[in-house]
Amino acid sequence: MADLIPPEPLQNLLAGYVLGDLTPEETEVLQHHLQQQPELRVELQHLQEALAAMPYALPVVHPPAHVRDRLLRTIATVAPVDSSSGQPVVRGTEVRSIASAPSRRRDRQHWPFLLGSMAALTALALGLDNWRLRQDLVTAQAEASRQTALLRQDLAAAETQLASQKDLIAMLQQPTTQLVTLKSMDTKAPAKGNVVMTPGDRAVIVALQNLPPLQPGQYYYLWANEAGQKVACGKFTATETGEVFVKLVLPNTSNSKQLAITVENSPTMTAPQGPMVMISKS
Amino acid sequence: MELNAVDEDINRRLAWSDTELVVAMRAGDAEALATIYDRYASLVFRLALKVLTNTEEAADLTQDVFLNLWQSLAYQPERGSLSSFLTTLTRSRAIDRLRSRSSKQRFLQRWSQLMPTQSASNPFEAASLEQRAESVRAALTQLPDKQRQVLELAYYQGLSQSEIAAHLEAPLGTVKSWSRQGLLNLRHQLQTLLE
Repeated sequence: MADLIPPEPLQNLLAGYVLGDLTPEETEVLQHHLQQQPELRVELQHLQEALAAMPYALPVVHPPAHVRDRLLRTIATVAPVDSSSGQPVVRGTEVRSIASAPSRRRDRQHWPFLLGSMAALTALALGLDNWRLRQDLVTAQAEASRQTALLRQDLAAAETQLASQKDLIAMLQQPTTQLVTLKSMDTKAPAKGNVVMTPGDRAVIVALQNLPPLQPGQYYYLWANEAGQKVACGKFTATETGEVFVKLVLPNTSNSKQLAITVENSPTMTAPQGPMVMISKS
Repeated sequence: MELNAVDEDINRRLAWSDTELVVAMRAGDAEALATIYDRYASLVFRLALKVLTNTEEAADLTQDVFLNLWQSLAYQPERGSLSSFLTTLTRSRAIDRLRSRSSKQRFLQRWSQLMPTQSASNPFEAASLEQRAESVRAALTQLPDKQRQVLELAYYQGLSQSEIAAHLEAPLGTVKSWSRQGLLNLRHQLQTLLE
């Protein structure tokens, strides 16, 4: 273990490290070398940069313009995270239809693992106790930042809800606006609510309560029956208490008042597959 | 008059380095994030689209990645380029989505995260986006087919070495050697970009 291996096999180990395919024995050898030769970290970073540059070779495509608009609208209501921690904010009703809300749920699941693996890998790379301490500090700071970010997203969600309420008021002022009442498929279940729509307008507002809880990865979908065809009007989730208040923008204007809500297991459904939980009253 | 001042302000940001933009963004400058977005949204989106093969999901992830940059301190300029942070984050999230989509609850094998270095200088950033794309394309064409194929399977589809071995009907040791050699060759080809 005290002997150092020649440069070529060492390069091989560095590449394996960046690729994440080292065996436990190789990991031990590399750790030993990194302790002896801290300058190897520079080479590790070059390998990491080389790997991370691969997507440059992909054919150039640009995201749809609405992504930029939506991003800038979202950040206008959310301050960037600085190192100071935020004060608690009253939790608003979550509106998961906005882009930032689902990402928060993912972050909650994703961060601990990401941070855990980062801490483990950097500790391995350096093999130094003070690095571990620093990582603990970084992890604690990241956790504080994450909490602040969550609170700020709650605020953004509340502001989005306020915007939806303003939209609702504007729609209710239209003489042609219609209310479609939805009822629960399960006669014993208390789900109820309305969809507010204006003919010729792609925006609809969905206000529901007592919806059954979703499993992680599930979404509610609103469908319109257009001449026998089920057309997806949008997806959304509910609060923990089963409440929904969202604005959906339909791909096309719809005059159909035959609506249904299903539970689906994918965020990209084009036809209903899951169980129907609500349907418009005929 | 005021409008001209705003235009000048935006034009000035276009000339800023990634690190300068990140510093301004952390101070609350939304235009700095917009400039970063204009610089890297295509790179993030094309990677997301390659992994997810779905425009809507790729667009959603693109927004997510830049929102993360705005809302977290995860990126630290002294640890590597902004470009590699964005592609590493995008890839990891895209593959998470891919796996949750296929409901496979396998242990996630991950690429290592960014390594800290003593040097904050980054020649990679000195090259224009077009130069980087050209260099990486040229570098990849220099790799032996197998090496490139194995790297791409692992990078874009998140396959483990043993899954790739099964896919290519090649021994595991051979696949490992192809991917490690592939990465070393790629790094060698990109020498001038990286050092």
